[in-house]
Amino acid sequence: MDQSFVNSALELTAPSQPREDALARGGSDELLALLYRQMRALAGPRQDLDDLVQAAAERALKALARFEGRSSLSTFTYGIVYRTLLDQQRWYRRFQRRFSLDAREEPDELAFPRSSETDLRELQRARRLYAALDELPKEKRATLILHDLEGLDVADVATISGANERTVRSRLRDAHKKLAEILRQDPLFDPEVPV
Amino acid sequence: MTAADLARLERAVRAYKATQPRDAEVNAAVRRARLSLTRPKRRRSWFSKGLVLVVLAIGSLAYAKPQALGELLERVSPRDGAGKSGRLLTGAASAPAAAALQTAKALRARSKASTPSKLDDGAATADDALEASAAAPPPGAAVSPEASASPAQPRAAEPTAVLAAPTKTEAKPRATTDWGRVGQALARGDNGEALSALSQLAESDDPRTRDKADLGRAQLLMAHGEPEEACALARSLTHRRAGGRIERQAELLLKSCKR
Repeated sequence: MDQSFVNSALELTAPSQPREDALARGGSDELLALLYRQMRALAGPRQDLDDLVQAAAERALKALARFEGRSSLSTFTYGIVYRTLLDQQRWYRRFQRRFSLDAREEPDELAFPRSSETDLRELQRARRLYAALDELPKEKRATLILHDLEGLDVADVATISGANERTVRSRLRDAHKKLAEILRQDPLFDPEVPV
Repeated sequence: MTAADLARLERAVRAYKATQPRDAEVNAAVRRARLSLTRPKRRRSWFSKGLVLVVLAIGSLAYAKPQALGELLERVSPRDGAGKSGRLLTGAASAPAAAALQTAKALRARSKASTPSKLDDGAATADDALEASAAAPPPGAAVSPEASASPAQPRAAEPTAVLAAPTKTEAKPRATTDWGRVGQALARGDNGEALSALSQLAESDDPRTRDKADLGRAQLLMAHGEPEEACALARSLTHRRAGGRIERQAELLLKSCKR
């Protein structure tokens, strides 16, 4: 990762600099873009994605001064994104115990970007995939996304999730098993059907 | 996982990659995030939080232990004659401490007046004496006309009296109330004086004051090893149907009397 990117992001955390000035200089765009991509990968397309990115960005800006370079910056920010998402999910579970959302407020479908380039069948498959992923426990879901969909190795996933490598492998095995069961029911993923 | 499962997973990965965000979407999201991050957030400063904590701490101390607050203020307040005599301020010069103490007592009295107290009348009698002694003027200080009013005056009226007391520090000392005398005598440990003040109160026209004074005498006598007289007083209180908590206290005293 480019060192100037880290430096410009670190400027945001300097107490002497007003955050607005540092942000205005545009040095943090790469960090925000990285956080957005990572949050989008882990959380999927959803209505409150911007809120999650903002929460993760605030945490990242605070934590960046403590970044010692022992892992890559991408792994470091992935860790922040992972914890932000899990905290939000925990909060939301507690929220749901007390309150129930009005049916009109529930998003009826995932907010995928509308693009003519995207094959409709792939779009449909992606929707079903996210629906299947939502049925997995949150740690297993994140492990599967990071390893299988984002292509990170087990060691990085262990660093991000703060778990043992064996735990990560175990989570992966369980997640594969569950996901395979779900996808087996879905004709869209049938390997006999032509792409 | 079987080969078919792997093929399904491969399709899932392809679908996932196909729906990754485009640059335009990321840029728009970055702009939104920048806007929300540059928006100033109102956060309460540590100073105001600390101030609230200090006020709460002093308030609860004043409510729970008014004497402790008075002592603290006395210690903090400057010494008489800028260290000439080295003596702590008393009387008129310690007016702030007395005011703080009396304000705390007034608050307590007000809360007692607003909520029905579970204290018994025996305790109430002692409270009356102590509050009256607090309302009584220190040497060199004066008491307001309200404070020297009749002893049977309602509790709710006391705060006005005790709050007004430290403002007229230049006036000459006046006679204390009978309950004030009882309180002062008890504070000095002068039982004889306390008993004589209570005896005077026992001759009051107000039956409730009489009953309270008799109960106080009985309790004082019992505490100082004169059970016969104490029991006689307690018995008379139960016979005359003093009523309520006074009678219950008298019955409690009678339990320790020989039959």
